[in-house]
Amino acid sequence: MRTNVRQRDRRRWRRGTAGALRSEALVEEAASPACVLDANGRVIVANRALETLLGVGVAGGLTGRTLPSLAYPPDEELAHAAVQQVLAEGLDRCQVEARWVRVHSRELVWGAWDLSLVRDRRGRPELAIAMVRDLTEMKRSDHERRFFEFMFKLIGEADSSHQVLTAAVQTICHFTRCAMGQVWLPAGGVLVCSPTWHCSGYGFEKLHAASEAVNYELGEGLPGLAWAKRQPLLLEDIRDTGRFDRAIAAQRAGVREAMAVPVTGADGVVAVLELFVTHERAGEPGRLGRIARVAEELGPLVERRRANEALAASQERFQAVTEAAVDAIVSADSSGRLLTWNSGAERMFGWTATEIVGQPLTVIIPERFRQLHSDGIARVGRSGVSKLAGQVVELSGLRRDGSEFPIELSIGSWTGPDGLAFSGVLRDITERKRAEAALASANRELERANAELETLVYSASHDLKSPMVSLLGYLEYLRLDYGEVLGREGNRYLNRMADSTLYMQQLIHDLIDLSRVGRSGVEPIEVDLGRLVRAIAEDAGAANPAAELRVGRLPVVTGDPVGFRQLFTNLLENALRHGGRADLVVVVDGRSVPDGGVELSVRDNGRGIPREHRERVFGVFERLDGPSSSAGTGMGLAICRKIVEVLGGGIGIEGDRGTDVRIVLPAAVGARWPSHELTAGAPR
Amino acid sequence: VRSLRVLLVEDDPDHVFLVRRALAGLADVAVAVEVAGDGEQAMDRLAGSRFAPGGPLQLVLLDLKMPRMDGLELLARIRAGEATRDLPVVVLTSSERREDREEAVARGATWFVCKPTDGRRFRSEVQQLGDHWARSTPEGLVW
Repeated sequence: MRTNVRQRDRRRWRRGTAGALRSEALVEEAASPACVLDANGRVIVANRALETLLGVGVAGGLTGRTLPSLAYPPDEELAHAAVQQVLAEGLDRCQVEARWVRVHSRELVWGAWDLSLVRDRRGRPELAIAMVRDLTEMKRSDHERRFFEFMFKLIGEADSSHQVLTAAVQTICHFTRCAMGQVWLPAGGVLVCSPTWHCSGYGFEKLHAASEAVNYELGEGLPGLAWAKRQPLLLEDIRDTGRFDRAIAAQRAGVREAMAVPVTGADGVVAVLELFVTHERAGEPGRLGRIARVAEELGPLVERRRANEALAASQERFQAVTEAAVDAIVSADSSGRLLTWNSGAERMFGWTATEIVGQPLTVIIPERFRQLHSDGIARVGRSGVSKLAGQVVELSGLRRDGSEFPIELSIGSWTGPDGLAFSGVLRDITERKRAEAALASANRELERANAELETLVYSASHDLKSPMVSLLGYLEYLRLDYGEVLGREGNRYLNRMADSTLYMQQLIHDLIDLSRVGRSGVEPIEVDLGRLVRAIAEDAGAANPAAELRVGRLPVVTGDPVGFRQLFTNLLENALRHGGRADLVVVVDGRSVPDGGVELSVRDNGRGIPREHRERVFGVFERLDGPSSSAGTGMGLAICRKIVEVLGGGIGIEGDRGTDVRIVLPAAVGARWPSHELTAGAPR
Repeated sequence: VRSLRVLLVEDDPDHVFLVRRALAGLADVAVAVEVAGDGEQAMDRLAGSRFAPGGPLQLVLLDLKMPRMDGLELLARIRAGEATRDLPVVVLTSSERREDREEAVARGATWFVCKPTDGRRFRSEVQQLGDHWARSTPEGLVW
């Protein structure tokens, strides 16, 4: 019915005026979009170009429409006002620039409508001719330009890569009418949703919370897929549950479309932007492409910001470390001018950073070392190599007040923007030097006292020997000359005296041995311990026929042969004397230990030494079974310990059954092992 | 019975007594002992011994530990002197250590005997010495 009315109107208008006919022809022939409006503002005729612009498939599809009904609702008023001005108020020409909605696709187009009034013969407004210019492309590129301008302005104000991404998401949402945007960052092999996000509207909190609750691996979820493919992805309908895992939260927020756009720098994907579009705004063509273009620009910006951040962070750390350090930390350029000066240096030298930075390093070097320093700097300048770099050296420093103090300096060098530069860590070692000197002097004192004591023991023992000789000699002659007179009891007394005197003599000999260890001054020679111990074992075995002495694998070492003989003689005699059984088995052998030294073992199956006495037996005059002439003087192990300690080794007692004396000798004894077993017997 | 003129260099009178007594008990050898209390006296005796009324000294028994000039120094002087170079010197030692004895020999001692700490042992060692001397040629001791 409507169509009929319009056709009738049109026919009437056709019949009506010549002007109308002219206008119709003009419009239909025009190359640019155009139409004719009747006095009521309805389209009478529109050409093909306009129909295409406004997305009308059929010819005549625009007939009868008013301009406001074609306009994008916010621009309706504009369109209405323009038509009113021409047709109602009689303005000859009027132009209106507005957004229009394409009839079928609902897309927006920008168009400038140029309305010209056609009057009837009486001069009343009869029709209007509209010539339309398509501004969509222009507006779109203008829009995009503003988009970029705005974004770069925001990014320019951003201090961090994080802020850059936040600003980008905000701008993208604004310009592409996305309802919500968030940033995913690769961290430790997964994508993590950054806590900052942007939305225009309400109801997106749960969607963001759901996003923060998940991490995506490469290729997983929409962001992970974009990360893996390194290309922007569009999901047209998030209700497609197989393809979008946060669908419920997204649907509640009214989301229809989801997009994931990777931001790629030189080192790969630095972030993935995820954007959501609501039902009302969904399906806008070209949106993904526009966002992708923005993202392309974003990659290098984010990366540069990240590099700056890393540098700033490392500088900050360096600053924090150097400022907290007690040591002085300074740096200088290749000509020896100070570049940095920390608070430790301020305290140590008395110069503040502001006073001294830029000054030559020689300010803190005592006069007599300055030439050396300048030569060194010159040499490094020529060769580009610093002898001192990476080393720790001890030098003297010069304080502001002119006093000198010992310092320990370690130097590092690097190539900075202005060539070779040096950093130095300086430590005030005054206290250490003082302590070292005190320790050395105490040590010297101790050594002197020890040496004095040993000399005293040595000479006292020797002086004791002489009367001992006399005593024994007279005892002997007393027995020879007067033995018969003294009778049996008298002779028993004489024997007791002789025994005690002999014991005293043995004590003196042992004391001399003990004080002599380590002072013989004998040149160390190679000692075949295997041969030595076998010889000792032979002698000892002859005196103890029931005992079994096994000598296993023993090395050739370098040392004092007398010391080693005494060591093993004492140990074997101890074993046989204190083993507590006639059929004792004693095994002597050795093995190498990881640091290049050797461990020797002299062990038996005798009664052993209780754990609590194992340290005590190494003392002087220590015997576990009380004094008696048969038990020895109790100095054997003390002598052994001294022999081993003079060699830089250690001796101790191990074992739960029997006694196992372990001797560890350092690598310095240069142990060589015989290539084959020379003796039968059972090494452990 | 042979006779032997011995210079005993010893500062301890007790030791002098004990050594004399041990030497007096030797079989087959009559020992005439002269005593020097220190190294210098010993050098004097040795210097004049060639023309001494009882004949030249034939053996020196030397204690190593003495005041002023010690035994080893005297030994070195005896070995350095033209007239005394070949004189047998027997060192009296109280050390049990083989190394000490070997060192004395290395420094020029002809032999060593232990000091009379153990009477029997001392006597047997001195007897060995005497026996050795008894077997040796009239020209001197050969060891």
